[in-house]
Amino acid sequence: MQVSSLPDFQPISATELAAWAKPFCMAQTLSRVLSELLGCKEFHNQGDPGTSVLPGHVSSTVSSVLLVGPPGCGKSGLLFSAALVAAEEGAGPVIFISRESLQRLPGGGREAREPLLLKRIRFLYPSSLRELLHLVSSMHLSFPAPSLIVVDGLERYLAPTCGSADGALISGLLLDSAAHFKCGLLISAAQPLEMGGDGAFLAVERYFPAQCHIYGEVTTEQEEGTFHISFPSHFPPCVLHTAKDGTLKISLPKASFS
Amino acid sequence: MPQGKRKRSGDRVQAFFPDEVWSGGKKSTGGQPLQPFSLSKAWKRCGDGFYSCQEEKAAASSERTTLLGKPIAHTPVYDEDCNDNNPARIVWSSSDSELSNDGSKEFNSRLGFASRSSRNKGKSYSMDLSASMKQFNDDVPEITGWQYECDSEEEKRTFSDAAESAVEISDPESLSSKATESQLLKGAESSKVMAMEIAEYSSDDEFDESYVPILPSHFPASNDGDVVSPTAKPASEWLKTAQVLLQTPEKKIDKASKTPEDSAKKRKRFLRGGLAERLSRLQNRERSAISFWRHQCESDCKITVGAKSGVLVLKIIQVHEECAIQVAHCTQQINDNNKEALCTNDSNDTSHLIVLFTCQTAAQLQVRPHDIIHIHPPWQKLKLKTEDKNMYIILNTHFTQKIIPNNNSTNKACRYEMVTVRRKKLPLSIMFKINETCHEHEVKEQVPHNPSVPKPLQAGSSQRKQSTMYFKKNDSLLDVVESQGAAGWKGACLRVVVQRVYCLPSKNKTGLHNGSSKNIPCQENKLRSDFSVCLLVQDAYGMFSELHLQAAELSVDHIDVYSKRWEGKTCCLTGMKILQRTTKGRAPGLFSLIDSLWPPLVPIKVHGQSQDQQVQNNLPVPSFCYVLAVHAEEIEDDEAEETPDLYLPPAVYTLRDIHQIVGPSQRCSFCGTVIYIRPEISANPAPQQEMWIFVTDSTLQEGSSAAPRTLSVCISPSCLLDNRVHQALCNKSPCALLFKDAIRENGRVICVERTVLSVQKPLLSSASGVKQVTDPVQLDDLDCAAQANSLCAVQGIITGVNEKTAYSWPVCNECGSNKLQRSDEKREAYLCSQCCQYTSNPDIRMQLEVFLRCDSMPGCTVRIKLQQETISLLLRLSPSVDGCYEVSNVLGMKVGPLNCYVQSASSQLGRYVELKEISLWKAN
Amino acid sequence: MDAILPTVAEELLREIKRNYQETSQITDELLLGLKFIFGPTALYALDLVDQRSVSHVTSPSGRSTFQVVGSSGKMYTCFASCHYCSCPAFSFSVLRKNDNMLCKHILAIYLSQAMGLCQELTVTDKQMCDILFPKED
Repeated sequence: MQVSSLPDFQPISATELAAWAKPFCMAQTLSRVLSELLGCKEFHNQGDPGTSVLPGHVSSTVSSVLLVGPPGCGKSGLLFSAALVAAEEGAGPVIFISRESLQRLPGGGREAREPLLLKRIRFLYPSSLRELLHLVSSMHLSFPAPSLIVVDGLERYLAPTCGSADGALISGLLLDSAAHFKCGLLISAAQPLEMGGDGAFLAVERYFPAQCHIYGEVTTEQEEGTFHISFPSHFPPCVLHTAKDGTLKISLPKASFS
Repeated sequence: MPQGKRKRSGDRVQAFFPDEVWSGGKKSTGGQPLQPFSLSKAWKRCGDGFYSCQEEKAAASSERTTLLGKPIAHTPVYDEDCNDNNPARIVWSSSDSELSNDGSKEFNSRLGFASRSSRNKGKSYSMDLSASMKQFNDDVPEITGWQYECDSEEEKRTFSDAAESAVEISDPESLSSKATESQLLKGAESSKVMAMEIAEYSSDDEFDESYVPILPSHFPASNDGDVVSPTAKPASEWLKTAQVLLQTPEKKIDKASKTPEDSAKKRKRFLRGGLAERLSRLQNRERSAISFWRHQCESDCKITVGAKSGVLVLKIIQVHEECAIQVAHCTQQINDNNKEALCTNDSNDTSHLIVLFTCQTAAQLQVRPHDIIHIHPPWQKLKLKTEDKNMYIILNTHFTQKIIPNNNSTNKACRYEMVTVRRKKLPLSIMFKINETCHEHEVKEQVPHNPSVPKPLQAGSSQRKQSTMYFKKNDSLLDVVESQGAAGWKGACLRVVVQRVYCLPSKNKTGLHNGSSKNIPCQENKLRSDFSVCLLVQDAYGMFSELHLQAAELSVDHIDVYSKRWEGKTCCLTGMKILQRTTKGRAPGLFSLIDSLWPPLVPIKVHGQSQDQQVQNNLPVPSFCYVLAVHAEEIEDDEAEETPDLYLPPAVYTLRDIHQIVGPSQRCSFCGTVIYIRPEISANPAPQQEMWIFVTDSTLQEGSSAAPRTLSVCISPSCLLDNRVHQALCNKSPCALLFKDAIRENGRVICVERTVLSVQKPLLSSASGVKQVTDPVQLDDLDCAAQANSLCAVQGIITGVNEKTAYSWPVCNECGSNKLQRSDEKREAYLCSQCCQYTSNPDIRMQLEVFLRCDSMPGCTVRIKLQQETISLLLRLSPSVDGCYEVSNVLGMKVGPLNCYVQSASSQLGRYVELKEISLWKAN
Repeated sequence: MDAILPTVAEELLREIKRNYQETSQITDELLLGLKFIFGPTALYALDLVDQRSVSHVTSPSGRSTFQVVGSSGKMYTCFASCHYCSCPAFSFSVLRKNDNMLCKHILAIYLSQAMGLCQELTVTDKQMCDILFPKED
């Protein structure tokens, strides 16, 4: 694909964004968020949007995305931005699940434009895996159909003692809820540090083939708070900058690529 | 509710918390945030067990309580002090030290906790799971959870015991103080082996070939620490378990390949006729073919390819593994010899194939890129249609051979190379969509022509469902049934003769099978869903089969039509489904009918003998019979002329023959004139119940007095009366019925399942040589041999009156109803509430039972309930005072002969017979 | 290259469904193909199908799931939208060891769907919560 050299940020008009809107396709939404942060509108058509690359007809619109990255790399911010996008354009509320309440809402961008949007996001803070499972398994009871389900920090619910069955259960329940509501699902998780305790995480990964990886490269050149984003077949690799106040910016890597 | 079976888990594994549900990793770890609370309960309980076993100081016991409160189940207790040591040593060294130090506290020494406490006094263990939990290998709950996911009770027990013991072995408490460290370590290793077997077995039952040892890192307990599990078992039991375990590890290793197979043999059988049974049969056949093939491969590596068609010659490009299946991308090598072209029409790249191998085949082949392989038939091809191109997948590649090139140097290079096959993880988020039908895909099996392949597989070539069915007429039911499998098939034609047509109550309907719940519908032609039409057929080899017809338009009311249509005809069955294979013991009714059709009229074929010379003497009656379900359209008439006429029409006996010739429990057919039935049925539909029909014919009426004059026939609810019969019986006039295949029993005849009643025109009965019954019909005189439910004629002298049951009541003159009320207006007048007529002189009906003394039955009390006419006759001459009659007026009067129905006849001393006077049916 | 096995499995199941709809039975080749792709799981799954162990549970809200009675009599829950089963075999053999694509219960669900042998069960929404995530005490 062609990449033109661009300045770091460029504003996009809301109409242009709306033109690419596919509220139920999480990969799209995330791509849009990323592209919005990137400030560039040319990158949302990577590959074949919404279809997986599996041959034949074992394909589905990619409506669930797992965001993996180290803690503090801005996953919550990305998720929140995506929630705002869906709150604005989606048909139902957004359910935002996190272990702890967001310390601060990632500033800038849409949220400043429309405070009413926040009202359409329901923040829920189940404190344990059990509560989370109960919440997700009774979603058909308690909520009207949301347009997006966001789980921030899934790893915080999966204690090292949790096995792959737990990871599978919560992933399966989330996918099942999303399938029932026909809404998008966006999950963020930090990779567990200990090698032994990642059974649950590996199971979670099996359930989300569409994964967006954020990884840091500590080199002397790059400043702190800089990460690489890899979202194969949905977005080109780019660089994510996190500022101290939580604002996120995305830029293309300096080197050219094809 | 799912996973609610706690009892089971609690019973089986004592090593874990009795009230914890161990249905798998999910439950155990999903509940972990709550574990401390439930743990404490269980701990306390287990602590009680500890208390009871010994006398300990209060301090020690309180320490134990604190220790027990620490949630350590399912996680190895990771003692920080012994971080660097071999974790297995943690326990033993401490207990050893305890042993040496404190001989008196013998039991205490077994507890690793106590020892630890003695070293770590004052250490407080928090109840918070996350805080005190150390990292552990999460194989622990997995392996233990595995105990439940087995396929049979036996396996579960075997492996749960093994796993349980495996846990106990590493539990310091489970061993006596006499156990040495080396023994314990050995035990840990043995349990490691067992855990490997457990885990390995569960994933694959083909143990011999796919046994891949798990790396020791998978085993949790011996590496990371001890799994301490509280248990309330007394120490002596632990000792026993430990000793048993320590003795058996070698055996377990030796029997590694045998244990799962033994369990496999003990595994419960699959449902007969089900798909699993079919597949296991196919699988066994396939396995024997595969082992035969492997032997052949080993003996003769070079199997020439050229002459055999159906062999795929492929070159491997790339190999990777997905979920125990090895996927190889290949190109097809088409050379001159091999003319096998896979796909003709597609212009796309058809030479690129994807071949799948099972892990066994892959392990044997060890294919690498650039290898050449030959795939011998039978194999299967699956075509996947994608948007841009078609992909062909080759399945069932068990008969594959790798061609080793003659160039030795290449071999050497390959030999040293490690085959690293990439394993792919499959995503779980995708569900298979099996509902779309827009793509046409085919699964074609390659018919093998290789004579080295054993016969059974060769015969298994498929016929595509769209291909025209090959009607090869088959004479043998056995052949067809046993070669085609239980679930049914289409494609052959079985020639049979229909011997009988009847109705059977169908058992799979929700209606209960007692007489009262069956409904006979009224006169319209409604399908009686409780019954289904059945045919008893016989093939040329004499084998019988009962066909249950399935067709919505069949109505059991037209059973006579179906009889005419099918009975005696030769038919071709083009399809069937096996319902069951039944034997004499299980279906006596069916086999009594089969017995009546044996021996066959014409010579039958015998399997394995030439057809010309038949020694037909003493051919045994078939002892088993297949019950098949057939659709009505699968039965076709067979116009072939050369079929021998096996049809054995029912032999119609006279009633005298029934009494004299037909033996007990034999099926017989006869024609009789109905003179009375009991209970009297009305034209309104009533639930079918047991009924007695009394028939006679001229042979009985005119016969000698030795034979009874009538025959009592009992109709059981399972014998269907069709509408015509029912109507004829409602008319209360004598009718001739043909009873086909009724059973003679106890001097009577019973009509059960498979008996067919049909109305016979009087002409027919005369044609069979039996004259019509003339009026009046004579009944036997009552004698000592009278049985209940029979007819007799009685005469005697009244010796008494049953005053309790004697009463009279008025009935309306017009309509005969007894709903009369005294009218208020007119005196001595009655108003009939039925027809609203006034009547001043209503008829009087009377009921009277008298006791008779019969000369033919001295010493026997006969009580007879008289009919109105007889009563009137009796009382005509007696004066009445206000409707009351003097008993003495009737005493001594002679009555008879009266036709009676014997209601009951007790055969005890002081014989007592109860009769009811009846009127036999008379022709209108 | 991407995984081909799910597609193959899906196609085989579709073929079974087509075959069954037309002829009310499954040919031997398809059975052997099942065994080839899924291994011993196929046999156990067919046994479950023979015993009509699969129930499709729906609730008024539209959420649906599957329950399978295992060979031990234990009831397992499987989801309708992704491959998940509450049996230990799934977490061990499918998740951890990656030896099988499915556990026998999930395969039994597919086969029962293909042959129309699922029992239908309706529960309340509240009961559906309990089925999806059973409460423990």
